Amino acid sequence: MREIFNIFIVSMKVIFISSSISLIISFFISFLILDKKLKFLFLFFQSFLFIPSVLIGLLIYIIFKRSGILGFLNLLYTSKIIIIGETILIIPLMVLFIVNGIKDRFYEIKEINEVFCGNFLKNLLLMIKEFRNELLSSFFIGCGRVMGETGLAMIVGGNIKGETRTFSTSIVLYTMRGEIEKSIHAGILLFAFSLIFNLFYFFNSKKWKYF
Amino acid sequence: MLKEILTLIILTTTSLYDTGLLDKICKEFEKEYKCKVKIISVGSGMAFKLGKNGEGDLLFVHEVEGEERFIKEGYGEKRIPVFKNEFVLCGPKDDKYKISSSLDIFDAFKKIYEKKLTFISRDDKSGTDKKEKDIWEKIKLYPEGKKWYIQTGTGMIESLRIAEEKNGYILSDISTFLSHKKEFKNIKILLRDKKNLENYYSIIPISKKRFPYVNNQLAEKFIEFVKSKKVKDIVENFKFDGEKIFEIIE
Amino acid sequence: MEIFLKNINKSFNGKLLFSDLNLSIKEGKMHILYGNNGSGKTTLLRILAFLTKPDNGEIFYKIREKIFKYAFPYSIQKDVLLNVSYLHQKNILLKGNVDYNIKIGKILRGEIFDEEFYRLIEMFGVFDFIKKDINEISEGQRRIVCILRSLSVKWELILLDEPFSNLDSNYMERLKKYLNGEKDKGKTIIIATPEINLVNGLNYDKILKLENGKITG
Repeated sequence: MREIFNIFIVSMKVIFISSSISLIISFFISFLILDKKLKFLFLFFQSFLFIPSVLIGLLIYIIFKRSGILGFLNLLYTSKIIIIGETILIIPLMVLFIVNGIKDRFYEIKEINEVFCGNFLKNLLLMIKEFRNELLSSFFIGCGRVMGETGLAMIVGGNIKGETRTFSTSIVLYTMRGEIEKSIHAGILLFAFSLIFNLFYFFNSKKWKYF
Repeated sequence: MLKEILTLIILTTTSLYDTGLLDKICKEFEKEYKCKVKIISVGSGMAFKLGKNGEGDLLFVHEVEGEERFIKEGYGEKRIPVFKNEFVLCGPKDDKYKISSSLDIFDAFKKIYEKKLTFISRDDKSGTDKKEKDIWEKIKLYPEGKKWYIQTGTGMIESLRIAEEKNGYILSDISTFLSHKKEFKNIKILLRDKKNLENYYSIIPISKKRFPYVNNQLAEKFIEFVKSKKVKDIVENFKFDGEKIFEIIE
Repeated sequence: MEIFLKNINKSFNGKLLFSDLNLSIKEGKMHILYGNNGSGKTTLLRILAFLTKPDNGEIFYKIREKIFKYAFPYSIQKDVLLNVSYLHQKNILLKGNVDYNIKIGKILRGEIFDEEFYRLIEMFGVFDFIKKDINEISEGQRRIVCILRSLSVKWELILLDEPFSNLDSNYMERLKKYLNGEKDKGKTIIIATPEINLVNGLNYDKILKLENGKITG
């Protein structure tokens, strides 16, 4: 079915791109927090952990609509703006996760790099290698969060067929229309994907290694 | 039990509810009949579905075909048209393509199709959506799948905003547009076609035969109330931008 | 390499570790830093390795007739550090196998893997478990991996913090033999130890006893 395929493509695009960009940004922020011991920065992100996604959606809407500051970019109601929104949404989550995951070993690795005269880039590569698992896990957590997100996607995306309609926004639409069957189909697919992501996360995380 | 007798559940569509008229009417109704009104506002399609499950006491919608089918299938007994308003075609202020000078709505739609102009469609099986689809059907043009035909899955006001952003054309009910007129800097009402774009709002009490627990008594009282002078006054004075939105049907 | 510490002060967690510490380390000498746990041995070595900053004071490093001054604001002197090797008291190992962990020192420093390197590996007989994952070897083997990592880079001065912990007599022998050999080549060695018996067999020149923030001996 053409429709389901389009929804799948849009959803996957949004999930993967926003999680990837957020991973890179979050890693840098986490690195900064640990390296320069910026506790207040960590608290800053921690306080935004539970920010409702619709609030971010609202803010983005105000900024990117035609009469808004960045209105000239014409990004509203495109998949790009959803990606921007979701990326911003999951950064606090990822930062929290990464910092907590790597803080125990961060300073040791840093010292090894210092003692052996590694430069900033070498340190970065070393850490990415060492913390590969934690970074990957946080990637999947980001994916999971974006996957079910609805409010932001609706507000800034407009649920446009073929363009900004994701699994979750489709379910809203089908339910509103009264097409409960279609809604359930989309729901099952969404559930299947979230299950796959959950499994990826689980198999990758430390806990699995104990079995 | 007493609480049930004193509660009226109205299933209505977002386009009617969002104007605010229904809230006004129901507030007066609650005062006069000392009861509580619960309004469930969803898309037309969903409203019918809920009605078919007996989830409410009456339907207050604006989709003639759906309403007739509803009654035919035995979910409702009668259909009482109470108000009407109009749909309007909105589009870019500069009206480059002279859509406003079209003969009627069919002519306008034809022009839009031929010139491949950006058109925003609700795609949510709402009353407005159905009207739009009926027009395409009448002129035997099928824009679905075309690049310029944007199908949002959102309500009227969101779809209007999308039209505003994308400089597109859209069919809207006049009340929603006028009530948010200040927001729209790019689009305005381009064409009115009272003959072809009339929009009737009807009340259908849900069949007591089918669903014995519906509050038929209160539903009938509500219909009476809507036809009373009090509501007539409310409707006459319900204006946006100086214009009366709804017209009472005698 | 020669080192001269001048009026070094360091407090740690409110406890005064050294006050006005003056110390001279001559080139080609092996010094044993001996003191109780918590006496400041590790901190002193860390200061020399630029890992910890002193509260005040200066350190002068003389390398091949060139003198480097390390003073406030105590930024890392890379030119000096490239000639220094350091071994942590704790085993810090990276995810991977033994091979990777030994080589990472030279990799980070951008040094090539020459004959000298492979001779070092051979001397300590780690080939048997070179491909094993770091989690699969014993604590003593992990220690020797860290030691080899530190020994493998080019150094004029090496700072070893309790290198003999968890080592069996075999490894201990080989390590002592190797260090004696390096000393003969004119390299400067400082070893911190909590137990003086551990350094039997080393050709050390001086024992520096660290007690109450002062060096004696």
